[in-house]
Amino acid sequence: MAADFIQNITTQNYPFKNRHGNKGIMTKKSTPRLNTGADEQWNMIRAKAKKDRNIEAFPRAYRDDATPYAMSAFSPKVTDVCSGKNAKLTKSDNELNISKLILVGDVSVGKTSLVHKFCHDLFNRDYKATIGVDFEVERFDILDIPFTLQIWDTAGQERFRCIAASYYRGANVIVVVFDLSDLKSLESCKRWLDDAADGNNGTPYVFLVGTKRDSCSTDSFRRAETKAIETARELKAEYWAVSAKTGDNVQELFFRIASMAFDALLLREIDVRSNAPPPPIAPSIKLTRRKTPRQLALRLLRRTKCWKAL
Amino acid sequence: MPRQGPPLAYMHRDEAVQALEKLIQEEEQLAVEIESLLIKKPEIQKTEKELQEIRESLAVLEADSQHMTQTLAFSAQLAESVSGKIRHLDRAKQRVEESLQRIEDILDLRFCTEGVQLAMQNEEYEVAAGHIHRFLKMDESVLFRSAEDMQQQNSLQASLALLHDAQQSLKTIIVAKFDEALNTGDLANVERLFKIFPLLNLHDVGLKKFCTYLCSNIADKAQTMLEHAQKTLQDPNQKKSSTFFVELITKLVEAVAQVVEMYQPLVETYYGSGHLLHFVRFLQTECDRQGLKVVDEFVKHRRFTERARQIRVLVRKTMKSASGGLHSVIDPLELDALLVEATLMNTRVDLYLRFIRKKLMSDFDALDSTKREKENRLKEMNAFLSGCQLSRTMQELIGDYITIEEYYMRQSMKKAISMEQVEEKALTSTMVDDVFFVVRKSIRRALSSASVDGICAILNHAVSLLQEDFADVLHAKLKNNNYVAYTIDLSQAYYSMLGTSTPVDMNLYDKNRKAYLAHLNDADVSMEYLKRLGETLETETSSLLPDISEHDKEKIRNTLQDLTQATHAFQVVVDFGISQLHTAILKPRIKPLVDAFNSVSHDISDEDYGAYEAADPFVENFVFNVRTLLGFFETALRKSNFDLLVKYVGAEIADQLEKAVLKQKYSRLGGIQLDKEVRSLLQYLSSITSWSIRDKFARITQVATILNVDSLVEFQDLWNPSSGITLAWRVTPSEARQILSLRSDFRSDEIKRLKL
Repeated sequence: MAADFIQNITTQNYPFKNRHGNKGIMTKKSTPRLNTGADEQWNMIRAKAKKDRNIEAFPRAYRDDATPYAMSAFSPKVTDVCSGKNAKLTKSDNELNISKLILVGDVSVGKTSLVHKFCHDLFNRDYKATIGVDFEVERFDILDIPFTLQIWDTAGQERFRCIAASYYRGANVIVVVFDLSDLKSLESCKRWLDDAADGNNGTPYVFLVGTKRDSCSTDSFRRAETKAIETARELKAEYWAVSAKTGDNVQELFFRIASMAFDALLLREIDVRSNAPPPPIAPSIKLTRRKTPRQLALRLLRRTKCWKAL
Repeated sequence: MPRQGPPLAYMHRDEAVQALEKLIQEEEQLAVEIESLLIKKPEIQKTEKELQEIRESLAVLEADSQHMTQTLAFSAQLAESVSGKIRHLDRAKQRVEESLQRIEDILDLRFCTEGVQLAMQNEEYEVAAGHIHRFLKMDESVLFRSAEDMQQQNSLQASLALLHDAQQSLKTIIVAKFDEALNTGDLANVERLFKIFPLLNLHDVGLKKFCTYLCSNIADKAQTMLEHAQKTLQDPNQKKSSTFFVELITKLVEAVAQVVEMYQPLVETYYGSGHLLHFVRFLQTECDRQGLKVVDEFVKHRRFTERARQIRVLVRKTMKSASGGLHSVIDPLELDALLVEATLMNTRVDLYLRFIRKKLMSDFDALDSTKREKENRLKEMNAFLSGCQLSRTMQELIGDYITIEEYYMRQSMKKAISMEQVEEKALTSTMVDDVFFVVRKSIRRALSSASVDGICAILNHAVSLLQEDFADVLHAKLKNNNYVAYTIDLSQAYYSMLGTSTPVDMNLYDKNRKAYLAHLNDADVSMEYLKRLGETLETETSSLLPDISEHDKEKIRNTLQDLTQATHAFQVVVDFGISQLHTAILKPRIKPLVDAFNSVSHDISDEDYGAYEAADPFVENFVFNVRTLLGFFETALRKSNFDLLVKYVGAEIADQLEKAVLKQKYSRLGGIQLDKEVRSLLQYLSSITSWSIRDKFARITQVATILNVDSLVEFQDLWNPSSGITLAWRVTPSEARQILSLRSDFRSDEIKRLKL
């Protein structure tokens, strides 16, 4: 008897469970798609960013005395918009919050390693020269707003300079990378940035990032850092010291970059919006209780002034 | 349970009867219970019996299982001992096999020793090499041990020494013979001897020797080709094709590819899979050397790098002096053919490298290696292909190409802009078509180079040129155009009836107006072109570069997205131009038109209403005037621009009209009249634009609706959304009260009493 009962429950429950599961799949399938080419982007918009890519608080600079960017919090306008206090951001789906980041610097200072550590949490000891430009996309949720950082990792070799140069103009963030254990690479940073300044007529954020911190002794690191901070002041750049091998400061750096780029992007957007005429709001129709046909007819007649004819 | 009722003495009769009844009931109940218990009795007895039976069988079961356990234990023991024996046997068998192998080896050794001697004497090198190959497969230390066992060390040592000798001498002979065959170009012998090397475990030596031979072949061929080419280049009479160097490099890489194609089966059969990379690596060094020569010749003859350097210097100079406008030292037209040649050269080399990659991949696939090994091999191959001198040279070439192409694009664009013309019937100027022609041409040329990074770089440049150079130029042209300023002068002159104190050149005015409107249309059409360009390029990319990696595709897709995003820059231009057009030219003229409304009374009787019905006092005329005002722009502007203009004008009319409306008094019929007027105006404006103008008219329509109510009760009904379909009000409650007070037939205290 008891066994029968259990069997009954299970047989009753299983189809129910199945139905439920199917329903889940169906709703997923029926979500509208833009077009086949933009499918991945579509997913990028829809899917939430990975858990460790949520930014709620504005990250601080590596050293407060080595940055021209004094910001330590999101702009009030931006937080207002993000919390939906003022006009809500009504973005069409294919309009993404995208900022472009470009990495430049001498050969083998560790640009690619830095990006790899951040994007894939991997560090490869073997050196492999980048050919042309590498490309990564990182999704963030900043203040619950989706944000995408395009990372263009250029090759340091001379023959790829022209390719790298073509990216300067559209870049929102320029990261000049040097090797903390090789001060020659710090000296050429100015040259790299000069190239960039030729191309970019916007005002990108500039970062001066020293890599391979792990391979420096305390002494040589201190010496390198003093020099780097000097250079950073000269270049009007924010200075960071990181290690892709140990992961020291890597995430902090990219979070800071993402937050600053996001803040600037939204400010620009808010500016454009406030200048532009307010978006048209179509007169809406509210639905309320239904009336009897007679009532409706009477109202209509009265409103159209046909009642006189009656 | 004994019943404990109250003593009988206190009981009433009725109570007694009741008690009795209760007792009877209880009795019946008990009887039923007993009955049911009795019914269960046989069942319980049955179960009891069953249980008894089960107990008996359980006892049997226990005995049986004990027996079984014993049996199993016994079996296990037996199996253990048997398997031990088998293991023993297995070991013995293995040893026997090993011994057999040794015996065989020793027999073979003798056979080989004899065979080698004979074969060497007869100069049958294949046979000799076969014997040596067999010998090399044996494990010498094992041979020694078996020889020790058999106490035959001496004879074994002798044959080993003999074989080693034979190996050495065969090696020298083969090498010598091979060299000789290579020198005399005796191909049949070369191939014959080439097969012998792997038998002697000399894979690398064989490959190297053979490749040196092939390389010298390639070098010879390339040398004659280059000499011929140089002769052709120096001879001024000979006709030279503009893709001369493309043909040259194509010939070279085709020659190399042919060699690979021809000897790949040979290498694979006699050297085994996995040696092709080695083989190709050897060949590539020569290919690199010769390819470099060709590219050098190209760079020298066409002054490619020199020009790129010149351009860089030029750009830097103009950037510093900021005088604007590059002094065209180099004519972009001259560069056209050069750029085509450079891109095509890259295409051919890319094709060749892809061919090599395919060959190597199939070679790797033939090996059954682990995934990790395969990955390592792939890594090695990719590093080889992208790091070889030829690739590096081409990368340098593409770098210079990007510089020159950007210059070409920028200069051609400047030229197109400077040569702009507005043709009589065209809505746009010629420059927009020219500019997009140039951009499209450059991007397509980049696409044909098959270099993904080159394509992305040119796309980046195109985006910034279109945004910064073209859109900004349009913006500046609109800003500096005198048309708008003149028109203000003109209208002021007209309205103040001062005559023309400063003579206005009507010809210039006409020209300016035409240019202004054409540039507005240019900006508008640019957005369309950009969108279309992005779409066609996306399809072209997938058709021209079908087998690039997903990563590269993503790169191009993201860069293309920037191209379509450049429409924003043109949108800004359009918005600026249209709003200026509106404020300077149309807005001042709308005001007097709306003023006509003021002279039409809306506080009217039945008779007046009838008269208005017969001869429209305001709106017909107004619509006519607006139509004449807009008429010119409807033909001179593109549809979307005109729509935008109408949107501005509509908003202005609605705004002005609302002000005028609020200044008048209305009777019931006056309200109806106003409603009619607003409706027909809206109808007209909606008819000339494809955008909805309704939202601009939302307020004025609502004002008319309020003024058109029958009574305050109806208004209340209209306002209060508790029933029926309600409007989303753009009018605040206090404004509504104010509007209602314009009605001469509503009392103000009643209006005040309304609950809004």
